[in-house]
Amino acid sequence: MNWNIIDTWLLVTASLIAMACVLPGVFLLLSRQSMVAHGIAHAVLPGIVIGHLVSGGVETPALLTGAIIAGILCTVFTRFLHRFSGVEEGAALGISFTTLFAIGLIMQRLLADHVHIEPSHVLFGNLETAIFQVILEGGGVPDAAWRGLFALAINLVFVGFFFKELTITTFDAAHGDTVGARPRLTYYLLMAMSALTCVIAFEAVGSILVVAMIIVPPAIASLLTKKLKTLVALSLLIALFCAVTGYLLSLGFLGDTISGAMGFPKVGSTNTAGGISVVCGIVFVVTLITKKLANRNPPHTPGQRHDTKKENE
Amino acid sequence: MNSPDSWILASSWLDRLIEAVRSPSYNLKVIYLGVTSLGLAAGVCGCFLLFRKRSLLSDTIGHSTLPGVCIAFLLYARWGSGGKSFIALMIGALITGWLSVRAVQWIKNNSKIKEDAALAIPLTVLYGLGVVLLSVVQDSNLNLQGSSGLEYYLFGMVASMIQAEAIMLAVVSLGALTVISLFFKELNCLSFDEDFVASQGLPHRWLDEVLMLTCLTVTIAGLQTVGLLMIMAAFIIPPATARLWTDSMPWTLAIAGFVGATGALIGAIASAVIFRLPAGAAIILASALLFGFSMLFGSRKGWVVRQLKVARLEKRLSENQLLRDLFDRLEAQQKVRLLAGLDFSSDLARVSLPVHDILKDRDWSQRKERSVARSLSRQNLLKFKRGDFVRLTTQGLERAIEVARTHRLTELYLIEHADVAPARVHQYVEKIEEITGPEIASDIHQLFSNELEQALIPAEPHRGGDTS
Repeated sequence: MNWNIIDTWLLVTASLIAMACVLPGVFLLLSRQSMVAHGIAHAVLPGIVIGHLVSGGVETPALLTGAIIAGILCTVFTRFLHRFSGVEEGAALGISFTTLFAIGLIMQRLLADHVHIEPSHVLFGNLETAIFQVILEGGGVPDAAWRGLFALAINLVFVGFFFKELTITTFDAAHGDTVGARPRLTYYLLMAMSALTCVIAFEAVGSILVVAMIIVPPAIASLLTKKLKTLVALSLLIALFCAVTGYLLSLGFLGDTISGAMGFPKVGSTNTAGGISVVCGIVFVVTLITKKLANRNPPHTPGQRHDTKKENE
Repeated sequence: MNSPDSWILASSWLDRLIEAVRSPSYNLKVIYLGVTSLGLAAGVCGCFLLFRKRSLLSDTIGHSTLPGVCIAFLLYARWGSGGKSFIALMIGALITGWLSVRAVQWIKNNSKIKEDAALAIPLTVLYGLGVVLLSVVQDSNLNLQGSSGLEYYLFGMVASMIQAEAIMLAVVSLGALTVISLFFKELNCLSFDEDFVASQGLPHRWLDEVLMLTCLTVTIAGLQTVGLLMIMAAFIIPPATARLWTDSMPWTLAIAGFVGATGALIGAIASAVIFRLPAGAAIILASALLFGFSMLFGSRKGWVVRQLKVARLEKRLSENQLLRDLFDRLEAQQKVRLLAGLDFSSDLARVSLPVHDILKDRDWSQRKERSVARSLSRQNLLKFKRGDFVRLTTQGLERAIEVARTHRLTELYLIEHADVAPARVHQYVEKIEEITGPEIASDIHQLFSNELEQALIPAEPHRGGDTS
């Protein structure tokens, strides 16, 4: 395996994006809205198409803006369906994002059929090509890396600035209202942050695997700690670990193992984003099992009593 | 429609619509059969997912089939004859789909992670695995025949549906409907009270498994033909639509099935009529439109019905308020005695009362005063006299007494049992009056039977002191 500049940039970009994703992820997870990320990831399609129709290009901020607006619209619709007609939250989300996606698909086919928004490209993502082009065109820092850094920086600033509001809103929106934390504004800011992150990330990692990076590292961290600040820090670390490991394994190990197990010849590198989410999944399962085993024979210390009591419930 | 071109276009659309509805081509008939039966079965199965707040499970199942499809493809290429074997891919999809259902359950049972994340984690992780496997499958070193386009397995192509697929969809749907009607009672219980089912000695785990397998089979049968997103929408939108119309379980299933089938049919027809309109998306949109229509006009939670209910309630409350005020005035004039043996056959009811004067403490508009009084007079509860004077009829007096009694008993109850300050109790009762009726009043009367003795109506508790 010969390492070169492309690999370095791929690794950096993947890590930046993975870390950017967990920041909204922590709060989505805690406010039980994990699937919202999944919804946003689909719902951005009409925004992208409209952005394209307005601007006429495929690589402009118009697409990004359109996508973010569509993503936020999806959450607005979901909330509206839930409040107005009493539709159960999961179903409300399902209705709004499938409908938005369908609208996007129809608009694309009827109005912008010449644009190649390949489903496989949107849904699977391709970090390799995103980086490769820039390197071929003359080096420097690739756009994807800049965007990853931008997303991470914005999310860090947002979470740092609104940490108190986010905490209150996530755990007790009614209380947030009484102390002036403006839960609705905070909610929509969080949604905007999720949409922005999704859109930036899915160019590189695909719209569905974004969800793995948003939800799984915070979920792993939530198995390990109950403190919010620790949770955020731990999620960032886990995301970094998963991104690096996932990337390294994707260089050959994963593909070779799979094809070797089936008795096929060796294959080259496999999809990086897929590799990262597989690693996330493995870490999750291992953590959960370890935690279960540790809880099975709890040492009789006062600190552990709380946990074992919960376990018996 | 000013240029002749658009005329021709419009008329050709109309022609195509008439043709698509009245004499569809063979291909179209196949598509109609396939999507309609799928819409029907998915709508019905989706109800059970919705009741258990698991609507998005079909999403998880759908995405989790990708690794199964790829593994099946690889195994079939290694040990079978290679290529895209429909049966092999379907079995692979079934296995990982089932795995994802178990994974959701496992996460929920073994950690404090909530439903949403328990659905999202298997979805993305298995999908990620699928993407990795896909890049193995499509690697040039392997050079497997038929590997390109395997990812389109998830997206489906309604337009290219063949007869065998349509028949398979019809059979799967029929099977799913049979299973559901066989276990209808048990599944019904399971949806609302799992513990009850367990306590009745029914095999609830096994039932759950049957239900999940049914949903799984329908999902996977649909994936290949209509695509992931449409199958998800078919599971989610029709049941949610049905809930806007009805409360009852059998009706929910029937309406969901109907909406699913109709939405699918409309979408399929639309895509046949409009050039380049993707059928899967058209079907989702048609179902969404049916949902939007139901949001407005649904008979249970539709906007119109709710508005009407509110208006009716408001009207009834205003009527009661007017009657009570009239009664208070009669009482103040000592025309009605409070004790038992109340005699309203005599000339009590003949007293004329000035409506406007009586209502001066309520900030009602004149129009409202008049319309409320008119509505009471239509019910023959009061009669208009000269000017704005009215007179209660015998029935009117009876109802006024009932209303005043309920009101005062509720006030009394709140003062004695809920520690509401007497000065504020009046406002409280005005607010909660919509839920207190004669039954509650008689309960409260029982409660105070000692103190009230034979009094039919207690004095207004918040004014105090004039009963004695």
